Amino acid sequence: MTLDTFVIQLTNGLVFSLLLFLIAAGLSLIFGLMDVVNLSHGAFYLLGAYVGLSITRWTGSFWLALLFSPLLVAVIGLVVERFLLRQLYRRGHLDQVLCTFGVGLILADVMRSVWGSYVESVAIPAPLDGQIVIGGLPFPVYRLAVIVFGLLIALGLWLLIERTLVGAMIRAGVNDAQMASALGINIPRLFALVFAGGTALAALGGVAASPILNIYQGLDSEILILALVVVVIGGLGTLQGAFWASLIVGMADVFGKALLPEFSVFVTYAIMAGVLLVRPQGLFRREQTRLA
Amino acid sequence: MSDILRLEHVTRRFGGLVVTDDLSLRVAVGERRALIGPNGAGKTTLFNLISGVLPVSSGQIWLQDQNITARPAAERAILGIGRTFQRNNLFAGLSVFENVCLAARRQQGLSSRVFRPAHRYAAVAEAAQGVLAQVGLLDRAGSIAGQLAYGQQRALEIAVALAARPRLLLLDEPTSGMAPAETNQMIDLIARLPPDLTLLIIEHDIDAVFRLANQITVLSFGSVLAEGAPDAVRQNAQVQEIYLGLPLERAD
Amino acid sequence: MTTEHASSLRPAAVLAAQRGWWRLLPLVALALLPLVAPPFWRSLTLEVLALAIFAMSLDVLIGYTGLVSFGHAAFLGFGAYAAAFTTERVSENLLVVLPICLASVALYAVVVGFLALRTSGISFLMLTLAFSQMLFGLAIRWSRVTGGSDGLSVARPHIGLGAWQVPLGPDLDLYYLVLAAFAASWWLLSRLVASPFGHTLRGIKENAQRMQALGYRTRRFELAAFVVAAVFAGLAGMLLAMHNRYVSPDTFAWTTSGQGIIMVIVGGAGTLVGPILGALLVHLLESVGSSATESWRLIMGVVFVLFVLFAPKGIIGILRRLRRSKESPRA
Repeated sequence: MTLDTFVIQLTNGLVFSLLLFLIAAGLSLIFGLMDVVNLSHGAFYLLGAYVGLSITRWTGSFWLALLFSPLLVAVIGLVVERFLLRQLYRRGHLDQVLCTFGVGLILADVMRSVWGSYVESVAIPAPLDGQIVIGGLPFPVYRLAVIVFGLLIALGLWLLIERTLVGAMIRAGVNDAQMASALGINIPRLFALVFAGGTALAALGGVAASPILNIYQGLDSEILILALVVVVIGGLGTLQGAFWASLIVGMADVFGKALLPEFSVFVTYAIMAGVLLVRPQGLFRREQTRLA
Repeated sequence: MSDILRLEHVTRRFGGLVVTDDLSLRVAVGERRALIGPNGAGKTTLFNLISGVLPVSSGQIWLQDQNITARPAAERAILGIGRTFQRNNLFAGLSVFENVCLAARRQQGLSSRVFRPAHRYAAVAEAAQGVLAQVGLLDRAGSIAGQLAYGQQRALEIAVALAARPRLLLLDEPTSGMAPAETNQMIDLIARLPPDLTLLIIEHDIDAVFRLANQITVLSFGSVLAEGAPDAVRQNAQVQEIYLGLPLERAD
Repeated sequence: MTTEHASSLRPAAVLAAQRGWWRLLPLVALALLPLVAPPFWRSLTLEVLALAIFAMSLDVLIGYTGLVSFGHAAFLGFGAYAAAFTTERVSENLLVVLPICLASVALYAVVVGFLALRTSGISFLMLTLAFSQMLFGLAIRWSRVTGGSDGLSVARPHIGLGAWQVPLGPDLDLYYLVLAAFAASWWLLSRLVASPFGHTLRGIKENAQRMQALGYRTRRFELAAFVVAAVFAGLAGMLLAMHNRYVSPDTFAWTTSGQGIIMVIVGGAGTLVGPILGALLVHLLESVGSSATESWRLIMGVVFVLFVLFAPKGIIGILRRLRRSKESPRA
């Protein structure tokens, strides 16, 4: 591998990592707060991409799609949380996980009947459809834009969680939902907010990825699995973990495919297995110690 | 007389918080030792350290002549440490009988048999019935454990521990949350346990402590504040200070 | 008093023994079915029986041990690919293929189980899922060996002992092979769950911490359950591969694992009859429903969500509730 191809693969890896982060961050936050692995997360990603595709086709504007698709998907997320998951709070997390699996099945079939089984793609929006040459190497502008956008979202999320009142509530809820509730935080509303926010992030990732990656039936489970691997490596419920693990998985995926095409899947899972052997709780999650 | 349990300079930290602080303790075979102390003194943590639920941060734990510091909870149970829990910690969805059978089956080394139906092992059933009779729950054998009255669940908690035939039994607040009449029954039950079974009892009910214990250890902030026979401990000025406002006299 | 009490605890067992003969009725019916049913239904029944083995094995984990695996298809697929490799490269003799398939599945399950059981609950679910995806990816990408997305063909085996050879030619022979495997699996698994080992698993599901405090090394039992479940799933995979004469990476897809979970939950976790009913329902919906309507997946999703919301104990749970409400006015 020459230096040039290395730099280009590095860029691709970074792009993929940050897209993964958008998806994994939502998954991780939902888990951290609600103890639910949202198995419909991949479906929300794909739904975001499809809705974005339709908006782009109707209006001719990718930017409207980038804005409205996540909002629409968040509304659906809200409905799922309010009318399905909330019914199961008392029953335990496993039933909620199973419920999200069912929701994923339903969404997948709805998407199949609405958008069909074709491989779709979205054109790169005009102002970003070009290349810039840096150090003699051509870089696609859109990919660089995705990197910047992803980093901005990561920064924004970090500020939201660490520096705002809503973030403080989320952190309190992650640590101890009962205690947070006793402090007067409206837990059901917080859950709904985070679930909707998480699905919106997945959809945002779906729209942002659509000019680079194709859109097709089955992508939902591929994305879900990668996001799950990210979350397992990073540690469930930590934003930091999701960020660094996204980089690890994204890079492993891109470089694995370039260097070991037949065994690239192994690279990612070998990393995961290795992490689990050494730190079963993930890289960034502190071991839970309760006083009792 | 030989010690059944020996703790040597045991420390346990949670982050920066030292919950058990360089604690040393010896318990002789057949003793009835009460552990008392204010809330947060680290009594339950000490049980968790002895039974292996939590690892120690430093120090050693010996069961007779075996160093069990690094042994996992299950192995310590096999070596003869039994325990009950402060909050009922039963197999709530299984029958009372099955709760006790699980313990008896393990003790008889039958728990991994795969072919003969479990109910055909007569020795297990006999042991289970014996223990249920001992705690007065024989007539409830068929009930679902989670549906028993609270006091009966407390008794079952002890029955389950007994069915594993421990040498050393750790009882974590056996009378907590009980009505006075139930408390008396529970104290009688514990007092009737065979004399070769060593008991370590955490108890807040001071009356129960003086009726059951022949040795008392007072914990405060994770270390031993005082230790000795009940009367000596009662006279100890420091202990009285800790229990200020709490009468240490027997309530009768 | 002791014996008197023991007998009072046993009526359920006695009743079961007395009723035992009529558990064989469904098996007799299944044995006679090919004589009357057209080939389509025979083939469908065969598939349901194999899937029922798969679902029962998954229920050993979910319903009895409390381990929710979302990657059980890994073992179904492993058994299927092992059958393809063995019939291609080693032998077409079932008496050789069967032990190789089952032993290799067991070996793989030990490795996966050892890693996945370092965690529990949701993490375990995700890990099993990840490991099955790993095989899925490998089956697609490592096409030199696995045939990629085209999959591999599987030869119909024969049964051979020295000079004595029985070909498993037309579908009828294979049907009886699957039926025999189903009956054997059902019998073995019902012995297993009723045994002390099965009770140990239930104890772990109820309260693993207390089991440890009683001296159970719970992870060993969990691993044992994991391997047993994997072996039966591998058996189902091998049979399905022989029936289809073909394996494809889709066997490993997480939707296959998900369908297994649907069978267990909809049928009724913690029983063996439940998963059998679940397998029947799901497979009927898939094979008959898919020809009738495009959106059978949607229907399956909705049915599943409704069961999770309103009948978490599945069909068996509903039947038990009905029976109880019928009995209670008399009592």
